[in-house]
Amino acid sequence: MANTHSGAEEEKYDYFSMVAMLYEMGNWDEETVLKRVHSYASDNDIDEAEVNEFLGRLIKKKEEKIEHTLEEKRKFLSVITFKNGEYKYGDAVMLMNDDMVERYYDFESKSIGEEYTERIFEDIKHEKPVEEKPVDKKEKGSAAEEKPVDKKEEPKKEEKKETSTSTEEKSNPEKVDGEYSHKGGERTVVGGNSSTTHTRSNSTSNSHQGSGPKSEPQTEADYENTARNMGSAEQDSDVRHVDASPERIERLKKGKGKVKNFFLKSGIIVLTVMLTSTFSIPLIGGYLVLAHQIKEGKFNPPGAFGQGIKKVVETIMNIGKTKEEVEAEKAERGRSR
Amino acid sequence: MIKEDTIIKLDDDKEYYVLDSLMMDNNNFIMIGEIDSVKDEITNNVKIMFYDSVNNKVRKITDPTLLYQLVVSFADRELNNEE
Repeated sequence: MANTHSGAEEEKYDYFSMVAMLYEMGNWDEETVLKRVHSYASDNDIDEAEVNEFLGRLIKKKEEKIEHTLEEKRKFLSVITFKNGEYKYGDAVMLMNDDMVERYYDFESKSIGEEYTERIFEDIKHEKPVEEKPVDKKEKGSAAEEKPVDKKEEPKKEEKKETSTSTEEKSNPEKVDGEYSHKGGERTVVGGNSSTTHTRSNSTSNSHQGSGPKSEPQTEADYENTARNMGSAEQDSDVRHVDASPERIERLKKGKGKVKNFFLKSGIIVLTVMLTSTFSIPLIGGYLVLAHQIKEGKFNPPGAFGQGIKKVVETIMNIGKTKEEVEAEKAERGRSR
Repeated sequence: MIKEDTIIKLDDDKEYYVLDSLMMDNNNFIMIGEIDSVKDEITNNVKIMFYDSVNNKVRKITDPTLLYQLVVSFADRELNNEE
């Protein structure tokens, strides 16, 4: 449908869609939505009646949202585990305490969108209950032995010294920290003037330091902390190779996909808003909104830069999916448009 | 170069799992995740580092443009690996 709109119409459609998404996700409160939409309408000569109709529909829709029981929410999360390759929480879902279920549900149901959520609730009725299984207990590998990384494996590169210096020049910790503190601000809307307060829990804000990929849900604070940590400066460090048993490597490897996926998303979110002022959107919302827009076929920026962002988000979205699944989704999007 | 799926230890005396290793313009960049010493699993404390093979040292990448480029490269590789 977006393709049939004129440029201005399409932009308006995109803007309203994004506002709706941010509001439903809880990133923008009602006051912020009203302020932003009226300001946008004023700047773009949009009819007041049209704006009021949009706002009325948006707020009414949220007010009528059905509240699900705790048990339904737990089942919902279990079903996602099996239905969506990006959400591999495994057995951890069934071992979550009530508080975690609430937080996880809050985060995931918003991130995957209302329509999909409702479809999953329909599926739950036909889904076989998930049996509780013990979480795979850790078993540390045999005593690790350290040794310097074997330099013989590496190709000789005399230019490395020079490259090293150039990388050092590129890296500017002070600048980076400054960017984060400025852009991150109050951890609200990056580049925006909103005073929105996030409702999601911050209780796991430090969990990335100690918790594994399966045991804790990722919150917005996790994304921000991970991304912040990504760019913080550190001194050079010597490298020592650790000999680990194949069993240990194999076990650690199992958690690798989830950690990488999470890190790459964080990187896209933060670096996108750092490198461009085009998208004045919250951090986690940045990825989610774009991903949602792409899934809906509504994000189609004309410029090369915008298309580059789109490609990157699509790449991240498709991690964990087979080529056939990606193609099928593209075809589905094409049909729905 | 430092290989993927190996474990290294840095000066902070922590172990890191090498999530990915990339050669770009003859430079080796690695993505490493800290290993929780108690649970023995990879945490979300992930860093992208430049490996200086001459001095056997790693340096954290903090330049946003380079980081962005590397994040995209790692994401592309991830997708290709999945395929």
